[in-house]
Parts: sequence; structure tokens; C-alpha cells
Amino acid sequence: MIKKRVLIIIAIVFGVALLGTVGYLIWKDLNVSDARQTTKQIQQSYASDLPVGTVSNNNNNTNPGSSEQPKVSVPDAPGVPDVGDLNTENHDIYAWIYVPDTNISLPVAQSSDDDNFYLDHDVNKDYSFPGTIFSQSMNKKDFSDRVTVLYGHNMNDGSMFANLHYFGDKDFFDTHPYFYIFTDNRVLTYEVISAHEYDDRHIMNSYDFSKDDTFKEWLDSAQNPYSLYSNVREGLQLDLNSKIVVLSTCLNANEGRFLVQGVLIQDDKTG
Amino acid sequence: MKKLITMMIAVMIMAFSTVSAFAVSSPVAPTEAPKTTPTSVDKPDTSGKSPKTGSSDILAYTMIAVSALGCGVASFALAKSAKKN
Repeated sequence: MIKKRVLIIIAIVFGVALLGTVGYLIWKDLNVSDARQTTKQIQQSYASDLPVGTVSNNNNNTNPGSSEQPKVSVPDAPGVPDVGDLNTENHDIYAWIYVPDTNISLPVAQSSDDDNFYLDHDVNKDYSFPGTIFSQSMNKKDFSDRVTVLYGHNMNDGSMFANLHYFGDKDFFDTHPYFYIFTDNRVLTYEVISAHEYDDRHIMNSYDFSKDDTFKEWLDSAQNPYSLYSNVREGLQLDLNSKIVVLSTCLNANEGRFLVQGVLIQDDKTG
Repeated sequence: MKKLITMMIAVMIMAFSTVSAFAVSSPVAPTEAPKTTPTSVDKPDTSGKSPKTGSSDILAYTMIAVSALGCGVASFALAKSAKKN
């Protein structure tokens, strides 16, 4: 009799755990789906002219290291996102990042209250599993720091920063040398230095980039990553005046991070 | 006596480990002690680890598998004991 009761209790406990976990996955899926819709609406409202998604015929096929200018140039280029309007909606949004031939055409936020707020909140400040692309308060919002780190989730559905992993592919890396960051009145063009795996240390909390030696070491490691799985653009000249943006997302497995590092090569004013 | 020697060696190792000259640098990249960046946010990120931006469901699926297995085994045992009675 006692054994029967114990078995019933065990069955109920496992049953509840099973239902709870399935419920969590359904809730998460719905949340991710909502987030996808929100992102789509924002892209259509504020950056409708920037093409989103993987394009088979590469429209950014500039030879690495060449002096040819990037395809998206300002002020003539259509598709400059209306960051100012977005900032009116949410004062934490201060930029837009665009990586050609990926799903990455997304607003960038920095919370004034909590450094990790946008890890799990959307641009409307609602709870959202995919969060928003964000930087932390140790970085200035004008991208004038020697190193600025932008974080984004590696989502299973390919949203947020998941497509950064494309840069792990040598062909994609070679044919996509640039990414762009738009602010209210500037377009910043970055040339991709390298894409590589890294450990999970907090870059901004681990290095004091105000020290020339430390920054020089970082630049060296960007061009010669310790990672076995890395792609590096040869021939880029980096110096102590270089402005680096690190795009950071998680690996598909284990605890490390996947980094795509770019150096500012062009800073144009808009409007 | 052996315990005393072991203890002394342990204390020596611990003492050496606090001396920076004996510190082993990371094979990935040089590390510095976390710097405290003055920020104006209420909740600054002072962690030594980067924000976790993965989206793995491995834990959830493992939980489902374990729960289903546990529930199944318990139900089977219940059914078996009911049959016996």
C-alpha cells in the first residue's frame, strides 16, 4: 500500500515536471515568435530600405583589403534607419547595426539603469527572450571608445546575432568585409578584422583599454586570434587610434563566445 | 608526520599562488584584474564573465526526457502492482 502511494507521488511529480517543462518551451516559443514580429515591425517602420536576410547573389562583394568603398555610403544611400525617431520612442536606443546579407538589421540599446536589462527585454522594454542588441554603460554611446562591445543572443531561429556565425565560413568572411552602425546623425563603416571563438570573460571588465600596451595586445590578438576556428583579414593596418567594435554572441555549444571584430574605417555625417 | 608535511606543502602552494610573479597567464589572452569602471547605472555589470547570450534548450529537453522516463517507470510499476493484486 505504501509502495503504491510512493509510486503515485513519483508519477505525479514527474508528470508535473514534464508538463511544466513542455509549458515553458511553448511559452518560450510564443515569446520568441512575438519578438520576431516586433523586430519585423521595427525594421519595416524604421529601416525599411535596408535589405534583411541572406542574399545568394552577394551585393557586397568587395575585395578584402582593396581601396574600393563600401556599397552603402552616405549621405546618398537610401535606407539610413531613423534612429532619432526610435530614440524618441525609447531613449535607451541610440544606434542601429546593419550587417549585409544577414538578418542583422537591428536597433542597439543601452540601459541607463541596468547593464544587462536588454539581455532579456525588447525595445519596448517588455520581457523578451531574444532581448535586444545592447552595449553596457562602460561604453560611450558615440562609439568613440577604443573598444566597444555589442552583445546579442545566438538565437536558434537565426534572429539577433545568430547570423554572426556566418563569419565563421571563410567564403562569407572574405566576401563580406563591412558592417555598419547608424546613429542619429552618423554612419560608421567598420571593416571586419577577424571572426573567432573566444572564452567567456567579460572583455570590458577584464582589460583596461586606456593603457596603450593593453590595447596594443588586444589589436594583436584581434589579428592573430588564439582560436583554432578563426578567419582573419590580412593587410589591415591597426594602430592606437583605431576604434574597434566587437560583436559578441554565444557559441552553438559550450561556454565560450563568438566574436566578430571590426575597425572603424569611415565616419560620415548624415542629413 | 606525513600529515604535517602535506599540510606545510599545501600552505606553501597557497602562499605562492598569491604572489603575482607565480601566476599562470591564460593561454587564450593576457588577463588583468577586473577594473572597476565608474558608471552611472543602478545595476552595473561587474562580472568577470560576459553576458550569456546563448539560447540552448538542452536543459529543458533533458528535463523532459528524465521526467517522461520517471513518469513512465512509475506508471509501469503501478500498473504491474495493480495487476498482481
